[in-house]
Amino acid sequence: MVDVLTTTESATDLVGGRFGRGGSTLRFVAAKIGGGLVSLVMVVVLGFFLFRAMPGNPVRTLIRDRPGDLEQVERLRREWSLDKSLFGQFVDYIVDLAHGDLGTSFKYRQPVTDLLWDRVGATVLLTGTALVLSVALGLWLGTRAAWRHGSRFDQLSTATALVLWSVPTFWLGLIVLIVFAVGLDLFPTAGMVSPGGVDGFFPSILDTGHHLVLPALTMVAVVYAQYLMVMRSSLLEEMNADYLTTARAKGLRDDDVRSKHAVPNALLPTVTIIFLHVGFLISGAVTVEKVFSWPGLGLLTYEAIQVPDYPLLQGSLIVLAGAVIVMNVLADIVYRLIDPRVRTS
Amino acid sequence: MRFSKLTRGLGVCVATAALVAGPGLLPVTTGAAAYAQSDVTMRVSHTQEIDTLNPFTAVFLVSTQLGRLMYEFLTVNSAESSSPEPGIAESWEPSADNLTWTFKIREAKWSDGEPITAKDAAFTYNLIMTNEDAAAANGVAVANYESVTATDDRTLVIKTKTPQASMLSSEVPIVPEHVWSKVTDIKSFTNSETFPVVGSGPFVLTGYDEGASSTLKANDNFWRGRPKVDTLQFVKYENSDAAVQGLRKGDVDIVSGLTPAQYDALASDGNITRNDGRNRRFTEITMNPSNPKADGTAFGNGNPVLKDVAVRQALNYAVDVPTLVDRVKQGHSEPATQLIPPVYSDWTYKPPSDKLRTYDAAKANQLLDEAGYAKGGDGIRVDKQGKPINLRLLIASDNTQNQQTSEYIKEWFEAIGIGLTPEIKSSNQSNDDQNAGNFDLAFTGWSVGPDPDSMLAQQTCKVVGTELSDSNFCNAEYDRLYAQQLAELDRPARQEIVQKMQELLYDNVSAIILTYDKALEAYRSDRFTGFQTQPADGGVITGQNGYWGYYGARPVGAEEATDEAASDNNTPLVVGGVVSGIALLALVVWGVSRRRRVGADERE
Repeated sequence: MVDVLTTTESATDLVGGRFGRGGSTLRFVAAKIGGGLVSLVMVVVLGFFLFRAMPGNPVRTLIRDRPGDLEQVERLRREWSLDKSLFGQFVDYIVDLAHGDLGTSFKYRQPVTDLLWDRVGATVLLTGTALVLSVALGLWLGTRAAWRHGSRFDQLSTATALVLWSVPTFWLGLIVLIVFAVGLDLFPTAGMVSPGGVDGFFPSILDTGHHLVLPALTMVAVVYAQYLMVMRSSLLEEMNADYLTTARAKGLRDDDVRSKHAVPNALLPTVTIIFLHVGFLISGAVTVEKVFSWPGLGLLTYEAIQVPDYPLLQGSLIVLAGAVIVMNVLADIVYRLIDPRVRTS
Repeated sequence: MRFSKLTRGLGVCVATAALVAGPGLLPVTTGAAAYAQSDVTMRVSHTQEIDTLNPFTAVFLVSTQLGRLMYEFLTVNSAESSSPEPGIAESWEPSADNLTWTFKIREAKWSDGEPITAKDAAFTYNLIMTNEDAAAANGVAVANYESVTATDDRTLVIKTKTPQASMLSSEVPIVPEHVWSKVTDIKSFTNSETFPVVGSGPFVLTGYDEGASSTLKANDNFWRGRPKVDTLQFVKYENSDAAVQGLRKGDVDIVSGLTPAQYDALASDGNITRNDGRNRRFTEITMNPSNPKADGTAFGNGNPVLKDVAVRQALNYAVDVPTLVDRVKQGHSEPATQLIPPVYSDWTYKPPSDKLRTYDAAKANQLLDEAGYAKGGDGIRVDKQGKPINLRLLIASDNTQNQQTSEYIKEWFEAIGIGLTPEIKSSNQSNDDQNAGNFDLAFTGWSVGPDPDSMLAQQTCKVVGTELSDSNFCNAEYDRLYAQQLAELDRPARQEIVQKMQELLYDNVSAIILTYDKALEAYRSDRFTGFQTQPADGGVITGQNGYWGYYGARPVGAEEATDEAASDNNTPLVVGGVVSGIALLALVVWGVSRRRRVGADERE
């Protein structure tokens, strides 16, 4: 999180330095997009060599505990192009990529694009729900905590949030599972839909919603603290500003001073963080996926490392890193649009 | 009906909005009771992945387990001892020269009612032999086949290049030609494109949700008779803790792959019966002899003292296996001596008592003294070059039992003057090091198939330094016996050779074979009973070389079956869960907003 913030700040400096003083917005946007593309190319190249430099032998992993012969070892190497030189494999990979083909998974023997696409929906559903809920909860609690900082409410909500933030996710998830799914018998113990699926459109949506409650709840509990803390501290900075005194002097109700004057000014850093977190949405939450057996992208990638399934890993990296890069570029652009100081400096 | 995950995701957002807006949706959900199932469903949890359900390419354990339920082989492995018994073939006969096998195919039907013929079998084998993509999973089984032909609907003739004793344990799923002849791209075919998937086994695949669940229905046409369980579902759990909770709650009926702690914790639950089944898996410590590869190139950097059989024997004597079984495996293992586990009673070799190496530190010390490895000043023995003997022990970081074992072994080895350095590495790195021969000692373990051939082949000279090798062992006499057993079609005669080979491995201490590890399973005995274990005497229910466990299962009593059907209709539960979730949220919102109002009032 801190790293991400620093990046944005330096990006803001860049805006002020090179592109400020009436520099054309178009040039700015083009530069940002160009920078994003360069990063993406680096990811594409790095992904290929990084995973191949990692330890692991897919042939050995996938023939384990099965009758094997040397002919089969050769056959697999040929099928996966592992008999070619590293450079030859790299060229194939780049050429395929240029055609929009991420290759075929070693393990599943299916196009990587299909595998990823199938999992992206599941992950976005879980992390998206969790993001919306945790942002809403974090901002709300953060605003109130700052407004009455030092009060019992402030102490209690901040302490709770920080405790949940520092609890190991796996442990918290299991406790939630044991209490709500087994003890109270309210929710299922695994998956995104009931085994075998459910007939009908609304029942199937309800079924997915039913499965979504516990993983989303766990994720919210773990992450909402960061929004709370950022919102709380940026509002605290505004608390002593002169314009608030003016607003109070006009005779505004306390609630109005807060919601109409203080909060809008304090929102800026929070909005930036949220934007950047959207980029990390699809990398998901491997731990939550693992506890609740949620068939997401994070798990797919994690399991691919154990083979290692090179095409699947390369594909995941491009998608995961691509999302972060795109959101970073967007965040830079949006930041320029919404912050009057950046716009006019 | 199935919806894509994206559509479903959008739907959930809409549904959430609708739920918040008002109770208008509730009548709809009550109507959903229509999907309640009236049949008996048994759910099996699995934590291992399914790679694909295409029997020509599936290699993962769960996938091949599902394959056994979907497709019958020519011959299957008996529940009693995994010896071959009739499957699709009701009888068979090798020719006098042992090169031609004639199988008589039984009168039976595919699940869609078409007759099963020898042509289906010939089609399957020829596809594997001629199409490299179809050879991915079972190419090894047909590598020695010359030709496979159906001389008529009931007769299948297989000619082999050389005599092949493992013929009857080849485990090749036979597929229906009238379905598979239309498949154009075997490699990317997942076998979940259309349902039901026509098959010949006890169950028929009727649904598959990748990464989540597989649904199978009883096959009315199964030649042994329809199974007692109507629907069998395999449900993916990503961790065994959640699976145990699923079992306690009743979301699943069988779990496997339990840890000793999980197994013990289930003891008090009256609805659950536990099974620590004798399994086909063993754990060993291999000793790198640094034998050259088949082409003569040098291979491996194992400590040279490991070439000395006296040292290998001494190390074996120094390990107190019963203590490991007791302290590390918590009783869920048996001390081992051989790489063919005793669940294969026909093949396993039992060392006679005068040869048996049991824990004896004095004997170990004596062997090392006699071999001339004197102790240095610090109590560590020195090798022939005068260097202290310090062995590296390779351990994969994801195996905590092996890490615990290594702590004991370090102590035991130091007691006989051998230094030990445990090297804990990621399992991928550990694999790489074993593959490169970059170790002295290494933990490993195998699941052994019903025919001893492939486990024995892993100890031959030609696989040294390849992905196939177990211990990089190489011995000319052993290789000669290996070829001899493969050509010996007389089962008792072959057993004798196979046992002789194991004796040779034992005498040469190809590895320190530690334990035969039991499989820890548990099931809802308030719902299901009749599981046939393999082997029949104290064996396993899941992970068999057969379908016996699931095929034998039956619901407990007829009344219980009705209960089961009722609990399958979980609509009230779903509605209850969602409603209580919203209620909880509303309560929190109300509580906080109340506080807030009080606070605001105080300020004013």
